[in-house]
Amino acid sequence: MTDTDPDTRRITELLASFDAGPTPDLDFSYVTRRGTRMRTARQLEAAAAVLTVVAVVAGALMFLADSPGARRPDTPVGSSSASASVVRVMGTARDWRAAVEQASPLPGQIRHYDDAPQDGPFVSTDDAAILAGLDYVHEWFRYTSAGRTTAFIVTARWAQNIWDGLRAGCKMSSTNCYPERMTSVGPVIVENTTGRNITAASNLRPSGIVLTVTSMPYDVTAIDSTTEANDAVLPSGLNADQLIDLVTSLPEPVLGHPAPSPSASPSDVTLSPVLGSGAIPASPVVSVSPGERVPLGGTQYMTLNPSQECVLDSATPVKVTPGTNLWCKSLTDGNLAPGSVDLQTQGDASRLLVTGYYLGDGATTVMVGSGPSARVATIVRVNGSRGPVAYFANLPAGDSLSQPMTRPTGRNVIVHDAHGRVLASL
Amino acid sequence: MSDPAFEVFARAHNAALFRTALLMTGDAGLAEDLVQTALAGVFARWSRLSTQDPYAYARRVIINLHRDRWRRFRGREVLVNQAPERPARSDPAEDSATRHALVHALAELSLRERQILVLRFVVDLSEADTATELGVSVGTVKSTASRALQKLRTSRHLDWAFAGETR
Repeated sequence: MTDTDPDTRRITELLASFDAGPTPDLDFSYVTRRGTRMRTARQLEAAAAVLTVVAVVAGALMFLADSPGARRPDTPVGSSSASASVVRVMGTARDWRAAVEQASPLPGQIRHYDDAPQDGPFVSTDDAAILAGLDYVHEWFRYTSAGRTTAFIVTARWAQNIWDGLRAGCKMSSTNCYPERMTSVGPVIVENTTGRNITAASNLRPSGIVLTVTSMPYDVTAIDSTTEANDAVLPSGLNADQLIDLVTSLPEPVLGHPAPSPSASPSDVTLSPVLGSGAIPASPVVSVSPGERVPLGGTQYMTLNPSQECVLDSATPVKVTPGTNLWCKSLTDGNLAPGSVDLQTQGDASRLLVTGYYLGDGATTVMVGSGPSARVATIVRVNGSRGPVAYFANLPAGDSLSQPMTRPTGRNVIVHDAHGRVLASL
Repeated sequence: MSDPAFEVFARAHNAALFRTALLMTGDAGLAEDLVQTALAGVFARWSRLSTQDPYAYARRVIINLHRDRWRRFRGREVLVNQAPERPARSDPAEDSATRHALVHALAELSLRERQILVLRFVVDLSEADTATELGVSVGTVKSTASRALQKLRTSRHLDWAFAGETR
């Protein structure tokens, strides 16, 4: 579908001419009253921040004055009470599920929900390579007991300030929040969404994890059967005090999954070498650990394990729902016959990225394209594996391979063994 | 204390902001709430924003607040499973039916798809400006918009829009 096809034009016209109907009257005095309160709160916060800095500086000066040339033995070098760094807590969906089940008051009855539509820089996945590129993990767990549904939402963030987002939500008129309270395990916000009868207690832990427990008037079994939020309504669940007790008593999930290696920094695109004439050269080979990132140029990267090949973009928020991962291809689902090679292309203004995999042994050269413009692709294989290999090549933008309807069959990708024999072609 | 310039701004942009919020949320009450919150935020910073682009600021507040709410309440939004009646072309209720059909069709998209379609085709931002507004790449805007349009193209809520046309 292109921007010029009639159906697309019709849809964009519908959107552009969308009539929202009568606009609600603007309650101008309400807006200015709220705006004034927000301005005052902002000024108070700014003043408090200044006072905090002044207090810290004054304390430091007094400390130096008390102990000239000396350092107290219990004061770590470089520590500061004025700044709290955010701990990056990493874990796959499986890790989080195990942690929450262990932490919950009803182990064994918790259901993990990751089938809701997800978008943005958070994700539910067991792929650590994907998680490494994210700045937000958000997991849902629910259970229904005695006619009441309770949800646990565990959020870990390292780049986004979820807590400030919660506070901002409290300023909306459809959300009522109790005054924020400090507990021994960090601050707690209790919010109630009017009209939906949803009450939630959220607790910011020192690690940066936010634990939320909500009491929802929905029946989990209805969601189980439809996979969409076609919820049956139940009586109200836990009250605010019970929610606060629950969220502050929950142990913080401790995740055993090691933090993955830092993501590759965006790299410039280097076009793959032209094949030229003469003997067929061997492809460069990159051996990786399962899930390790291989830069493909730009912000894109590949991961490979014995059962899956993924081509991902660190600049693009990832949408992953188990079983429907749009960025990965299974090497074991039988869609490609053994001994066959696969091809995907994606282009932009600077190059055409060609990726794929070969289901077989003995591949030493992968050629992409044909004739004088053919290029040698890079082979990616899992350490110690003789099995399927992936490959990638960067071609000039607009290469004829970007035209699936006109490219010549059998000469787009050719896989050779060490003796120059053709193992597979597409 | 009100400011006449702010009042002029708020009244002039109320409808456009509500339209954006309604398409983004699919809920008129929530849309109204988001618009009022956004305008209150503009008022709180009016001395600085009045010389910049307060409309863009208000729009960003709406997008960010809705995104935060959606993250917290995702999966709890109740989708309507029944497609609306197909309106007759001369039906005086056609505007209303069209409105509901579009809102329902958009509600079936992901949050990011909805954001991009609304910014690109309702607010009429360029691909580059949409990318900047959402903090994503232009490539993401293009691919997401294409995917979202394809979904709308096959949405049962918009069947009537193509009635009588060769598909």
